[in-house]
Amino acid sequence: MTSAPLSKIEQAKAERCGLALEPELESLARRGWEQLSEAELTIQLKWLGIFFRPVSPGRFMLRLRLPNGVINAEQLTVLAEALDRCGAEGSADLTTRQNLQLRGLLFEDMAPLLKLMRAVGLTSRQSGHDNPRNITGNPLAGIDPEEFIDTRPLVLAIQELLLGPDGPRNLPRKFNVAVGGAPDSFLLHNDLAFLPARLDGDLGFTVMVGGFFSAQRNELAIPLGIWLRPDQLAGFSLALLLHFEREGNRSARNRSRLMYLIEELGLDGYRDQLLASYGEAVVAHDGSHLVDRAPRSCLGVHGQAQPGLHWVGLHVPMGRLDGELMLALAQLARTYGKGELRLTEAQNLLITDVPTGLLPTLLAEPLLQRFRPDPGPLQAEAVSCTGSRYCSFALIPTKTTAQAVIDELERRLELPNPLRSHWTGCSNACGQPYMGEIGLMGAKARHNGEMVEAAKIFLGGSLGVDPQLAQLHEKAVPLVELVGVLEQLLLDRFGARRRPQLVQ
Amino acid sequence: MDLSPDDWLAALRAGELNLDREGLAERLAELSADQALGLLAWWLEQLLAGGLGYGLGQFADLVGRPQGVAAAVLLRQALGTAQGGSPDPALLALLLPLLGYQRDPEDFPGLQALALNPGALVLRRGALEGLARGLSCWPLGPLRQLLVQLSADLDPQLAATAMDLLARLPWAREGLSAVAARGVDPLLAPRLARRRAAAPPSDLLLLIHGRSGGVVPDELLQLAEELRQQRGCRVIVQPLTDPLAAEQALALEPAPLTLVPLFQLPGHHVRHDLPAIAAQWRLRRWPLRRLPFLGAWPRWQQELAEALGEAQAQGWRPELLHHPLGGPLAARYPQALSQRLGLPCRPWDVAAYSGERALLVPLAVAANRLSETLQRWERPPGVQVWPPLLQQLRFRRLLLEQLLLLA
Ligand code: SF4
Repeated sequence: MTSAPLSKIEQAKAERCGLALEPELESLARRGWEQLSEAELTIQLKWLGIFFRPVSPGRFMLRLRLPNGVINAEQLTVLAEALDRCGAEGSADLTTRQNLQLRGLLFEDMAPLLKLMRAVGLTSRQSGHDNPRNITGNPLAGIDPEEFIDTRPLVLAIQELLLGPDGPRNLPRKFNVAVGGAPDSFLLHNDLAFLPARLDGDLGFTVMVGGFFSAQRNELAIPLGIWLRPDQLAGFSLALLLHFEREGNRSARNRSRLMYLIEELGLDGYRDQLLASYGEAVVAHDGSHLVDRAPRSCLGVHGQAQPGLHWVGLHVPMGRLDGELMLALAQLARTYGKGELRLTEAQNLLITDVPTGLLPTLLAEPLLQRFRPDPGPLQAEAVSCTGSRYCSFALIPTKTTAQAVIDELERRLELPNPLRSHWTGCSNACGQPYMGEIGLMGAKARHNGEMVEAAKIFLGGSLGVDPQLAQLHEKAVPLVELVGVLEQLLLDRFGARRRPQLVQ
Repeated sequence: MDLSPDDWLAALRAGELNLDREGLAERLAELSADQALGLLAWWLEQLLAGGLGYGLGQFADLVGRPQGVAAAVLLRQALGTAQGGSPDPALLALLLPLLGYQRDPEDFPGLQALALNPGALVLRRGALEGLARGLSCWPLGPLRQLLVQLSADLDPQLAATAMDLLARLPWAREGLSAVAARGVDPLLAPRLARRRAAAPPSDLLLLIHGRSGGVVPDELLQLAEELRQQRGCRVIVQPLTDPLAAEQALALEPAPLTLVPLFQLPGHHVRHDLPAIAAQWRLRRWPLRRLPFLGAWPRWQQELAEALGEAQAQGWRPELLHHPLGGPLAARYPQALSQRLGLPCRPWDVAAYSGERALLVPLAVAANRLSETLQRWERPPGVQVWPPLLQQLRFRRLLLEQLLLLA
């Protein structure tokens, strides 16, 4: 056992579990939350999904958990109402983990909101800091004509165990878990990913471990070398996370993701320890799996596995919503579907179960001018982190820059296929730039003798059968030159053509 | 250059460092509370000296973290200095949310004045955002009044924010009804409707006399149940005769509570026990407001007048009876009621009923000793005794209706 003194963060986590703050929220709101200590305010509250935002001290963020990215209209309405009360300060982001986070809330909003959320089956528990983050799954689970297995019950079972009484409360670092269910379930950026795989004709999962992106290092998950039956995923996940909680590195936060533990123990050593603590027999496996292509764009109208029903994928510009828009979306889902919505990792959303007969009216809804089922090829797959409006680390206003650049490029160019661009405000890489066919990362550069906002360009991310991380292509291009540089890149490498009226 | 936080601050003060977001964001995590305060002080000095022109405003989010008395003092000084000269409203607007975030009740009058001041809009919005960031620390009454007023402001954004804040205060329904009564910009009407629809009703504390041993009369149990179902809130029944029940209720999770004293007369209980009970709930951190005792509600008196008027029309001669009341203050109520209804009102005395067609009306909300004595009394023919008020459908209906309307 190491006797090194605990870091500030580890001390705060060890002091008490942030979950213990929940019963106090209401009286804290009334008596004054200023009495919270720095550790409680900036660290422990994240166990309840509540984020103190230095960018707007006094306006808080709440990050939800939406297992498998599924939400219903009633739940969305509860969130929308809370956000609507925040007026111009309120907004919601769709995240790259099929999740939602609400910004602009006052501390006074938290206790009543959590109560309302509980009543409609929502939670924000353990969604931030060193916790198992929202568990993702196939956004089309249960309606996908191509799926191998419905990931929703599996994801729910894992969440239940991880958040249950025996689940981890003090991991050394954040932890991402995902379950794949279709041929396009690219999930190797997760610490733990279950990819569908057949063994002697039985459908189960091969286990991939250690994927993560950070400012220091980016890795795709590697095969652990075992195969699990679907009913084993939850128990195995719990065992793996508890092992990580015990054995993970707590002395250096930049070396504490799961991959470092695997490297420290060696893959075989890690597997041996892990299986010993799991206790159940598992089958060795070569890591091959059924995922053989990059994620589909789910946008537009598509037939579901259920005859006569469709999902309609809507593009959410830069993944940003507000209270009124959320209310309107909930209403759309009620009117045209069965009140269900799905969120995708590409920060878009789907309305499911729309009968054929209702499609024309749905497509004619004015709201679909904003949330288009057929956005431009760059818009459709653009993913962005928060950027400088809400994040102190951001070197550029990510979302607005991305939007402006994409608008201009689409005005100038035609592209044969949708193109995945990932925008991130700094090297922390929350916008997953390494997964983009084009990745962009906020930076600073010298331009005409002055330091200006800029972006590094990464190229070559591939999420298909032979996954690759994007590599640095160009160092810090000043934002004023970005459109020109990207335009040339799209022309040279991505089959873009100038729009006819612009060719002189 | 790897400077210690202190050296870094010193270099900053000496003008040897260029401030950039990246450097600042990294540094912040290393600063102690005092050092962060030092950074805020330095930033404010720079801002006051150079204004927003030098791009310093963009660091507000990074330097504005310190919270507490010392930070409030710094911000107040800065605002005072800035207001003294020819103030740049944008600069003030940047500081006001940070001031509100310090959550010092002392700042309420200043923020209030700025929010109401018909000056630059950006300043008024800044002041309101300051009020938002400190919401629960301001004095509730004046805050509610201010927000009701601002909800009718000509600037729709200001009005909308005021309305949204009002919806978060205890007894939000009441504040929002006041806004609706004053009328709002038609553009904001749907917003107001959304806020009103979602505002939860406050919980109710029905304070009753109770029978010996803490027994609650059936009519009150029934009322409480109907209220729970129809109002969708917690309804706590506290009989004066059962201190244990009160203790249990006090231990529940506090929430805004409306104390409804279900007494017909302002006797000892209303004058002495009621304030003590209210104080006890407040002491246990329940936000509590008190309604007047039931017998003083104009609508209740009106119903009484109508009901007795109908009885008179049928040839009855109602006589209001009450249990003995101590003190001149309490005695005034029967007199006033007697005047209002034009009927005699006196303490019950077997010897003093007034004969034929007399309708004896015990002033009792629910069954009590007086009402039961009268019921048991072998009354002469031609004399009727009214049941306690809540045993009569019309009174129960009225009370239910009034309590459902309550914010
Ligand atoms: S990538 Fe950087 S700028 Fe973007 S959200 Fe993460 S930390 Fe903030």
